[in-house]
Amino acid sequence: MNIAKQITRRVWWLPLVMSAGVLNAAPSDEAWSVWNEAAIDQHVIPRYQTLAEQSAAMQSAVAGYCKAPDADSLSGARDAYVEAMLAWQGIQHVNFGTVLYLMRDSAMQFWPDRKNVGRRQLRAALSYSGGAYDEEYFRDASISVKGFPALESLLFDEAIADKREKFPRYCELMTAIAGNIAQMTDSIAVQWDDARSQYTDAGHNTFFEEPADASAQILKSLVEPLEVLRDTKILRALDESAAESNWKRSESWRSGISVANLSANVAALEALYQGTKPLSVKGLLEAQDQTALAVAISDQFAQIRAHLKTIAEPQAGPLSEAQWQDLNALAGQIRDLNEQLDEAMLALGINLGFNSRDGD
Amino acid sequence: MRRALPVTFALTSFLSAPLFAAGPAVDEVLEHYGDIALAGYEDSLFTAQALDKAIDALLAKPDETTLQAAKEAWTAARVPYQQTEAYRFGNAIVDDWEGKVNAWPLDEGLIDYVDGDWYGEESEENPAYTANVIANPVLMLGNEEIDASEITPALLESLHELDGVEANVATGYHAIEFLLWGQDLNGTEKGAGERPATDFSLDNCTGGNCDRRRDYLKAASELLISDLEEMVANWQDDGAARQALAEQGETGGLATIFTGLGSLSYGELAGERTKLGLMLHDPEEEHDCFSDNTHFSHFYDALGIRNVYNGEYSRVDGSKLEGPSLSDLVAANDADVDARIRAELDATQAAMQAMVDAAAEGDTFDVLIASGNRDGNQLVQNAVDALVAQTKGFEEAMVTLNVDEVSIEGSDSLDNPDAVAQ
Repeated sequence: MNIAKQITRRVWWLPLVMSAGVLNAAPSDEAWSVWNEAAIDQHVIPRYQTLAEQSAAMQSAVAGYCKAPDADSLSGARDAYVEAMLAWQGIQHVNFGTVLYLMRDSAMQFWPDRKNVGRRQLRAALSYSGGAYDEEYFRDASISVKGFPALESLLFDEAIADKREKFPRYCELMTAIAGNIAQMTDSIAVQWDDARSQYTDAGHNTFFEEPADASAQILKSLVEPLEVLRDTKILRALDESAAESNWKRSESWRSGISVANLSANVAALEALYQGTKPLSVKGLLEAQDQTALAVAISDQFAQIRAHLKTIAEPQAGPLSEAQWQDLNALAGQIRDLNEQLDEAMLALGINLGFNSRDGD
Repeated sequence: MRRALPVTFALTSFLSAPLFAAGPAVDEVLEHYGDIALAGYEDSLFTAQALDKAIDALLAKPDETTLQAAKEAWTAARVPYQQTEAYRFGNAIVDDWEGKVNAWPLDEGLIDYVDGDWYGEESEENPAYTANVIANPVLMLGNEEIDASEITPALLESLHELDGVEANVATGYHAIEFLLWGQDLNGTEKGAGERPATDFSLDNCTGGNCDRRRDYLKAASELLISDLEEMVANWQDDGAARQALAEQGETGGLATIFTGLGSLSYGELAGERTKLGLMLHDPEEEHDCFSDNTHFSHFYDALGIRNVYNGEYSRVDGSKLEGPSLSDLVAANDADVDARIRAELDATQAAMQAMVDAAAEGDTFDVLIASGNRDGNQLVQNAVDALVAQTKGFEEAMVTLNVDEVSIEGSDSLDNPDAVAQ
């Protein structure tokens, strides 16, 4: 029985007794309004802009490789992929707003692929004879060929030169997917111009009755991704022992940045927790007389960040016992942080409602 | 250490009892909830026993008639089982067990021959992707050698989730489904799997290794029966599932019920089993991908949710259970909320019925989710939207009954269906 699966499925109750007394003393509407604006303007929008810029650069670099394929242009394209992917990792946690339009949140990255669908559909896409890989093509295409994992699988194929020979449309498809990512991320960023006021004017518009309702949606993106980090990104690859582990079940083993992804995720969540001004989640907690908890969460972020710096990217395949223990300990630290943040949400009077991230 | 989130059930016992204005006693609601579970698992067992008899008849005289009868028995067995899925999330004893009987999706190349062009030769994630137990008395997986010379229920249990890979499904309804139907090679076109009856013939064997295929089918059928017997026992009066439910007290018990209803509605049925298929446009992404019975599996899943909320269940013998329900409890506290949820549940059944009707015309789930089939896609999207709406209804009911501190399993892309649909 796969333990990671069991953990993902396990439904649990929040320990509401611990903070039942503070629910009435939640932050004011004014405080939430200020924080909403800070989170959107200082965290969400700039990160999507960075992602759009890096994706555009990636598109050029991939096109450059395809125009003049050699070792330099290949490593340039791969480096650009890594930069764009890490920019995505820096905003992947956001599960609201313009990224949801046209199912783009799913199209950016279909992963994990439990049934090898991506490989099969990518093979079909390479043999596609119905015309250009254009906007029309991507509109009806499967999410598995639209985003980062499909591009990674083509660009980081060890036998990329042979594959270009074998599949005449290899480079065309690769460039088109990079272009699709660039197009999606550009739209996500641009459309925030209109979407912004849904959040910054929450309580005074038709989208949110109260400022705190918008805050709750933003805060879901702070708390819930920790479960994905732990269960899907780490424990799924670890399984129950080093012998049963397989780093090929990690998020970006082909490009060798699965650990770097985790670092980018943790840094992003830390920034959302304490990086906004004049109000941050940490500051709001302190204002609720929860300084000890607020500081403990900061410390936990710092410890996880420091731990991640010491972890080298494992090779694809089974982990060593030491690697397994180390990553398992990291998962434990993330679990603790998750529990602290759950407690923080109760202290702030925020009910996150449905766990929106993982199904079965 | 790796059981990351030890369930804090203990804490719930400190909570005050739910604040109810009126309605049936909570312990009676919980009792009736258990009674419906028992009836559902008993019906699942009876229909699995009927399936086993049909499999015996198929093996005694493998022809298209006996194969068709076995398929019909399998389809009938799905009717009560799917209705029990509302018990899965929330009741740990069910959730820890259900993978043995209804795990999905599966890499069927573990079990039997597959079409290489369609299925592919290898998977990055699964070393046993094409292990083919039926063809190989000895399995070589990496450096490991597995003795599969005798195909027994115990062997299948040991192969299940082999290498920690969830897609290595060796047992349960879907393994049997694959053996009866074979791969559906029609893609997103009409038609299901077309395994010939001679795949089970000792005299006129097709597909090779018919003796081992027969052993596999019989072993999987026996295992399904013993697994269902275990769950029937759990829901008897003093069974472990009833005890676990009782230990949670009134608030915890109600939260368990809602967790089951909400998690199945939202993350599992709307998300994993429906929306994901729609976004992948992939015929393998359907729950019953060999038999093309997905429309009914979804229909009865949704019906099971409504059964639990309304406190009713129609047994396979035609008799009916009715009793104190969540609906009664919610209605006594806020009649509007209850009326809204009942309407939402009915709307979901209507959306599911539309998929059943389409399937009757040959437009099964895999056809509906095809890339470019805009009308079909919309029909499936309607079911997703209805399920998401009823989940929000359950959330409201939890607030009404003061049991809202429950986490419900969800899925990406379901948070904001309006935006997704743009």
